[in-house]
Amino acid sequence: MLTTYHGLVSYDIGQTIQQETHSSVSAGGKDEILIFQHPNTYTLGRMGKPEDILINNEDIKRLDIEIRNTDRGGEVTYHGPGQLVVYPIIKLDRLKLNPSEYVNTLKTAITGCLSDYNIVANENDMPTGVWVENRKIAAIGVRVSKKTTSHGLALNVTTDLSYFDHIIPCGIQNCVVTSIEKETSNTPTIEEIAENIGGKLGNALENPVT
Amino acid sequence: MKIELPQVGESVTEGVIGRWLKNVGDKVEKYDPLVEVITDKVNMELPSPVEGVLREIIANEGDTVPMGGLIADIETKESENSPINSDTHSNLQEENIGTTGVLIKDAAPVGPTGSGGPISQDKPQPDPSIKDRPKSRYSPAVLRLAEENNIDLEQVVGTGINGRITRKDVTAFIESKPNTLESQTIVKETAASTPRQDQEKITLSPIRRMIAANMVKSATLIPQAWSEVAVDVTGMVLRRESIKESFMAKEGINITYLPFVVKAVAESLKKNPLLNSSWSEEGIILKKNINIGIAVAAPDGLVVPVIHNADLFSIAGLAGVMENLITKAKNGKLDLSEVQSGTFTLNNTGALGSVSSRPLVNHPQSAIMTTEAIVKRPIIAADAIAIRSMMNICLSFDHRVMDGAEASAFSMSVKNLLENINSETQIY
Repeated sequence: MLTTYHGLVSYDIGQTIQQETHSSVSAGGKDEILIFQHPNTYTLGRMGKPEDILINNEDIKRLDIEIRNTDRGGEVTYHGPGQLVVYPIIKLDRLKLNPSEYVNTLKTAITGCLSDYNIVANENDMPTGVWVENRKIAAIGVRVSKKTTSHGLALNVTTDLSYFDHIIPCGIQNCVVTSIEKETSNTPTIEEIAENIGGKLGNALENPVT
Repeated sequence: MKIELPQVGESVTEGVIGRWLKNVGDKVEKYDPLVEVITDKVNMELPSPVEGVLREIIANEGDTVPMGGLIADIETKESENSPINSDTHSNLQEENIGTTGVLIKDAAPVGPTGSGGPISQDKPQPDPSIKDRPKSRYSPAVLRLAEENNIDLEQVVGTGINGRITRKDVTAFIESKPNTLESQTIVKETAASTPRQDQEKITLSPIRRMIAANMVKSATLIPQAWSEVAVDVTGMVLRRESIKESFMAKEGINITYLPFVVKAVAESLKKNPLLNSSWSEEGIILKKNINIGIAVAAPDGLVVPVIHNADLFSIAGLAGVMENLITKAKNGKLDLSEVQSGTFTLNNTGALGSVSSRPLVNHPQSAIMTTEAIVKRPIIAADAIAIRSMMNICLSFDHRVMDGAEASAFSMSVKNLLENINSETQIY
């Protein structure tokens, strides 16, 4: 499956690329996976509440954070350097997956990637996302339009987690966030993780479920 | 045909209705995206299973619906829903307005009807060329590219599905512009009459067309009445003066009178829900969220960015949100979501010097309020003449939804809240 890592790209440009890819995939083009890093951005999904962003405009300017509303599911989250944002643009019909099963496929791919670095994901009934014990390491927020997915997941690799202090991540009070860097002694490069998660997702999303 | 929420996953038992992507009265093609349904972390567009006209929205934005629950009713060719000839006179009037409403979308604009009552005898003739054009729905990427390059999207040939315009189409148009523009201009000239020396024509931008369409809808579909109330805002002026500097020092932005007004309006809408509603043939739809749109003069025309859940913010919080929205509006950088789902509109016509106006209700809302210029006037207080800062507020409302009593109750609530602002009024 065509997987492209675009590197550090503004959120707006990322959305433009994503929308164009979505248009061509939903029109019959081949499914693709897009991977980005974004500069500091807080995004609100359809269930996002502005009051889940806790800091005032002065601090937002000082910390150089962009704020964006999006059309994905989920609430508020942070994107920033050191975090991989992965947007699989997939025709769900081809895979015969319903949206819940698709979200599970994303979780499984992330869990597989983490286990390659000896990080064990919490398999219990946690709120959507990927958790290490009670610390959230990856967020998931998806949109399905014309039976084709957009948005996807955000995985903390070497993210500056302090930016999560100023929001209520995914609307969960007292949510502790973590990253691959925090959970392992031998931190891989972000490029390595991009290749790993891209590969795992590519395999999982290549063939229809029998 | 009643539309149900389909199963989207084994463990998923319910969904929340996100945005309705079609309005009541809209024609719907089979597989057109109908509504957004939000389940855990997934926002999914539901395509329409049939072709027809959306007759009724049963589940509203923000409602939680169980799987299999009813969400909408679409009139298909086979179904026999509301009869054209109905018993009561009021129903018949609504049918006329509804039918003509659909025609208007495809027709040349009708002149203002003044009273805004039921459509007059002259039914507008549909313009066939406009009717044949595929329903244009420009993606944000396309709109942005068009605006940056001053492209009239009506001139671009769409190669996407159903003739939709893709980004590549716009890019191709830009690249071929020098040659194409000439030939297109020639076509236009021969079609029209010889250009006149005493006239100049301003081409309609997509935004201008949209504003025009909305104004026509408002003026022809909503019977509007109007009332005006004078408000003593001396207390509000003093309170703002007293915190102006410290607010700027702490927050880095100006605090104007608008956040005070929005707070009063939000509180008053909570107590007078009819003003935060929408007329439909099946019933008055009371909106659960208070999403106040603020009219802003942007470079291309009027835009109305929306403060979602305005009732949840403090005055300081409102100042922050509004500063962000208004700046983006003036720079043409608003997201689509920032101008959607408004339930009430506020227009600060006072900033333009107006002391009295009759705004047009922002269809499909039920009411709109203006704040007029603050002027120092002599008024009688306790049988003596006092000089007070006075501000008129003007309310236009949908007279089908409410009568003078409800509209006045709202105005008086706003008036009382604003007149009670004093040095103790909480900002945070």
